[in-house]
Amino acid sequence: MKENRKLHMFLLVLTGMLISVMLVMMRMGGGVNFRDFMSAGRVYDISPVILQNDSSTWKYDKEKQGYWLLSDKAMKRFGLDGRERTWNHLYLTIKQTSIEPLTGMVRYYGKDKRKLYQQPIELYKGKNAVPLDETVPMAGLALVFQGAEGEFVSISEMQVRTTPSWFTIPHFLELFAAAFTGVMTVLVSLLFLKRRFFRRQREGRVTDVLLDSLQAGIQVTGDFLGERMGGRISVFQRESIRKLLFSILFLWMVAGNTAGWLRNKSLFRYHVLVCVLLLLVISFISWEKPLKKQFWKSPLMKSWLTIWLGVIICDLFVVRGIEFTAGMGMLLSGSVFIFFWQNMEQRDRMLKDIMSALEITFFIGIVYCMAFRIKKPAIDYNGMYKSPEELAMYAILMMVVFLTRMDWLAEQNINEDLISGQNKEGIFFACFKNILGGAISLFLVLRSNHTPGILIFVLIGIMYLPGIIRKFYRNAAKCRKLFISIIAAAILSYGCTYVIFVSTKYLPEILDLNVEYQQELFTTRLKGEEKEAFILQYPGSLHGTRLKQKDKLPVIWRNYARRLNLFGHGGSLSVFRVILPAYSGYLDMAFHHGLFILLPYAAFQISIILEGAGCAFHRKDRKNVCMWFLGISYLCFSFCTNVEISWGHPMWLCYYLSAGYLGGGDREFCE
Amino acid sequence: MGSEVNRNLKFCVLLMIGIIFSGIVTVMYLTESINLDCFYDVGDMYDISSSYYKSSQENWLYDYEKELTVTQTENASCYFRFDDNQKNWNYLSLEIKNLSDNTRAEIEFLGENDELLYASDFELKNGRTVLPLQKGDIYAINVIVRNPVSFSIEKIQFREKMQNFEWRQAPGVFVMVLVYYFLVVLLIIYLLRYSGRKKHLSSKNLWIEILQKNYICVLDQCGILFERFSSLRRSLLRRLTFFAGMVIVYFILIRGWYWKLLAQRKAVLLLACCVLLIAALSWERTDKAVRWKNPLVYAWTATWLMAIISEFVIEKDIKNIGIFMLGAMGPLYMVWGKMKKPERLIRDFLTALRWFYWISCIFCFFFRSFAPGIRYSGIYSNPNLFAGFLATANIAFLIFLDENLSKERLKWHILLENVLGLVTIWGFLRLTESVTSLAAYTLEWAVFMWKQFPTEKKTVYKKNLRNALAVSALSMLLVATVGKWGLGSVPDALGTDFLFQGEQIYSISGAPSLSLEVEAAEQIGISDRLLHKVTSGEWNALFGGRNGVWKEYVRNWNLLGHAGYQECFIGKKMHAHNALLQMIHYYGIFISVPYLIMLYYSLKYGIKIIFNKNQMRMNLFFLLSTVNYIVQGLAEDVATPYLYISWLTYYIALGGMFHQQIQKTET
Repeated sequence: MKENRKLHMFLLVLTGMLISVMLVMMRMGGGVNFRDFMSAGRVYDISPVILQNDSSTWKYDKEKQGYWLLSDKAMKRFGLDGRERTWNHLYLTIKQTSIEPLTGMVRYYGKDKRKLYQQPIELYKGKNAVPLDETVPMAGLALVFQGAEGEFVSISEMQVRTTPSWFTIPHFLELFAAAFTGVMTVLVSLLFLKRRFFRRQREGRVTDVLLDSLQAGIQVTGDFLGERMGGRISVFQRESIRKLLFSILFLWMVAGNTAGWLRNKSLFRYHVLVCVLLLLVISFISWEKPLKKQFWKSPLMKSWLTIWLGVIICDLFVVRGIEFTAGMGMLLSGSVFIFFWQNMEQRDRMLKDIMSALEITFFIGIVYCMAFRIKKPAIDYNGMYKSPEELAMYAILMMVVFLTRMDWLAEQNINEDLISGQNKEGIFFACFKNILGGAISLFLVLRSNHTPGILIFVLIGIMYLPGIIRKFYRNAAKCRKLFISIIAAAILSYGCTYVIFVSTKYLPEILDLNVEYQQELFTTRLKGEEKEAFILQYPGSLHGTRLKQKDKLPVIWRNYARRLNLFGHGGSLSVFRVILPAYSGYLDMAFHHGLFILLPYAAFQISIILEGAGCAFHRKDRKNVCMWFLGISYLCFSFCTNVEISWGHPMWLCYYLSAGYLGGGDREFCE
Repeated sequence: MGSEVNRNLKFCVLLMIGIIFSGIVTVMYLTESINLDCFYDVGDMYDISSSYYKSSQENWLYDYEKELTVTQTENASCYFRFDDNQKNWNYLSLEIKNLSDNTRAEIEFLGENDELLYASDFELKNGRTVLPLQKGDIYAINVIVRNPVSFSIEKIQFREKMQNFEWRQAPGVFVMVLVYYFLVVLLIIYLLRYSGRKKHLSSKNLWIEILQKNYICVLDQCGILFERFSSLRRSLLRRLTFFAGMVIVYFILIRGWYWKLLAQRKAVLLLACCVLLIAALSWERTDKAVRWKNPLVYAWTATWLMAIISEFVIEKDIKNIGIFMLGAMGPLYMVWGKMKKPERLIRDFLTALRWFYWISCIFCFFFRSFAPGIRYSGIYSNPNLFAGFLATANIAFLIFLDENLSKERLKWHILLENVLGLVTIWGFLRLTESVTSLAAYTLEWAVFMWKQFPTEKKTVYKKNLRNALAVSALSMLLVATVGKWGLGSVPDALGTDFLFQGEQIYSISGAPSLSLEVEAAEQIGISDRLLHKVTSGEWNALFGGRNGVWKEYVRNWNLLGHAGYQECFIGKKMHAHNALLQMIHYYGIFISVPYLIMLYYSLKYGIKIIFNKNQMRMNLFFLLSTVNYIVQGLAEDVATPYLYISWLTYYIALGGMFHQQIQKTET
């Protein structure tokens, strides 16, 4: 209960923060607008990459991160959003300049690169606001500095827009502080008044009724179908079928992701239908005894349900593509699955089956990568996915699985006298499988070259190692055989990983089996001279590749944050003339489902980590590190990765279904 | 007995499926195209309306008595300009009958400004003549007949593909397929019996119990919220919620929310909430056993499950009806069975309907003036829609009259309200001149009369009837004087008269100009309109052009339905003017099987309820709602979800009939 109180306090503060952010954004936008808090109008940010490109008279200096102006009339042209239209303001942030003021011109260009108009400007260090002529539509503009030959200027940001921008960080913080104080005062007063004057009605609360109705529905249908499906098979059969179905489900999700079904509204329906059916069948197969009502008033379950209800409700206010289908699918099948899982006598069994299915599909995936997916030089590896970040997420998920397996193995080995029927000869094979899996995961993360993925890998490794070392150290005598097995398995795994390394480099080309997906994202770190030198060496090899979004991320985030509103949007934003995802789980959720979805979203993430930590350290009946690591890795990915891949990534599914393992409990007992 | 009924029903279902299946195979065979998205895949077509060629132009006369076109001189010509959006066709098909003498003819194909594009010369003969067309947009044609002859034009049709089959082949193919179908069905039945599986399958129908249990669980939970409410408060809340539901339905149609996705979603959600609220308010935890094992429930469930599947595959303009029915209406139907006095629900619904009607009357009186020669549209933008609503409102007043006529102490204000309601409905209905609703209205009265026979000899009844007649005479006087004057003058005098957005003026039929209409308005009434329709001898006149729409809808039958209305005539989308065709169009051909069974059993149970020993009060409601729905559904659209009060009334009434079987088995 104490934990709950802390969580409720956190939620209260978060609510206050979100309301304050909303108010501040509206204040900056100059009006009450729930469809677009900032009322930002049209905005186009010039890409940071373009701000580093040379022109004939602007020479970029990498070290000083600015331009040397080479002519008395130095000009650089910037394309805008691809259409010829009017803009009202130009914002330029000058980080450094050798002369002040910088005088020159802004030239307006039409679509056919025809000069339409020009106006004089004076620029100073810091943020410059230049009013543009509202009557002249333009497709591009140019900055011309006069009499500045040999001078230096560093431009860090450049933006054109139709409405003025009042956003600066200090201004935002000032307003936020005031708003937050006010909002929190109101919230706390309301809370106090509620407690003082409205007694809590124990029975007949709408939330209870909704939860009970949902559970009752699942219970009735679940018992009927479960008895006929899961009730007629043995435990062994049940586990085998579950593994098979989970394997199919994961493969289907990956297939759907790579085939592009997740972006096609009409195909996505069928894709989700198959996933939902598989998940429902797995649930009914897992029926063991008549279902009992579960305790769903915990923060974990409440936030889980609120996320998906929120996703669905947003559809009443915004026309969107696939979000409703994804949410509906999860609410329908996910809640059934979670309810069944929570009703299981031994929840670890389901977890083990999921992990086994992940392992099976992982090794199938590796064989597929070896034969069909080549690693191209200087391009980040996508593995069986369409982008390196998806591969990194998958590798982290698999690492968590294998680490958990190793943890269990060590635990079993230590308590071997307690466990009857332990197959000692199988220890080596188990070690080999887990270490090989872990090694391949590491290999894939490194190959994907995804910095957050690598950092998360290191973080989890750091968190895992002390525990396992301590276990071995304390039970050195018992773990001797295991330790030897680990060393042997590690040597063998190194060899195997090397084989995979070589295979992914050459085999698909030798066999002429290399497969490329439609709209696959190829990224490279090479740019500028390095890139040109590489292209000279391997002509055409970087065709269709994109520079890593690292430098562009703040601009992308700003674009998404600028569009936040109450009920969300459909699709993704066009930034730098390309449709780009949000590269952040939080922004993605807030953009698609409205700002306040962050409340259950954050609560769910924190609940998973807390409950997962409970499992890792305190619980004896469900002791494992899996959920804890999964929660942490998902949280970390949420900051800077497109982690919300609905029905397209095993990590996404495992994460949201983990509520089945961590939440619930017999309701009567819990209450 | 029960098993015999089941056997007959199963046979009927198999027969219907067989007929549909054979029909599909036949048209696919004839058109030599397997296309599940349009069984009759003969490309686009455009029929030139018969009103064009069954008219007279210079030297080209149409003899209405003999139904023949007569060309009086050489080179007599007839000019047709057509309104279809598509102008580029590949073939022109001309069907001629009763040609008096062989002659040559020519068709000139004209451009946008009637310039000659090219001409085709051909031998005019009985039967079908197909002329291949050149590429280019055709806006009009000019038919020139070389010699004076007489003939009858059956059809002039522009086509995308050539018709390379004759319809006389169809019956043979159809019968053959049907025979094969039954042979296969018999084989399957034999195999099932042989393997002993049939017995096992038919022994349990547990799914319906599970569905019931689900509803009960949800209602048990939701019922807690209203446990403390008194029955009076519940009743008032129910009436208000029913009224709110009707207002939502009205606004969905009149404000065009059904075309706006977000508005539609919100409105449907609100409607579903209203229905669920009523269910929760009416939920009683009684020991009454509710068993839904009857064909009506099966048909209802199958209909909406098929709708869900169809909606999943084809995104509809009007969405979520299957979920609405199974998720919101289902619990309400469950409530019917559990209530100790289900008539309370009927009473509250009908009261809400009467409230809605009286508010509509006030609205019409102050805002919608009546003009002579123009069909009155009342609270809607179309006279047929208003008439449909009137026929539905009539049910409420008839039932209350039926209930009160046998009462010993009949209150005057109740009698006056009901009789005045009935008289005003008739008054409005006359102004709308809608034949379909008039038919529904007449049948409602017929059912009402029929219901009165057992009580006609009671003294109290006779006395009340006399009073009712006296009050109705007074009401008629009131309506004919004050009502008619007010409707024609008040909105104009107050300057509050207005038209709905996109409202069209419908003049009474017959006269070619509005001034003549106005002049003739006093003489032409609904009876003349009806007489004109019946005596015209033209399908087109009889059905008011609906036969063309039906044809267009039938041509586009497919397996899983369409997104929205079909484009008819001049590229304009319009509803099917028939409930069955509309359902088939939305959800595919096979929905006709459960839908027809649902209609049949609702009619059957509606009649049975009246004769039931455990007589429920206001039991006339079920039959009247069904009759109203079916009759209106013959020539109007009552199948498009969420739009019509008639639709809502029928589906509310359906729930009461779900439990009719139980009462019978229990007794």
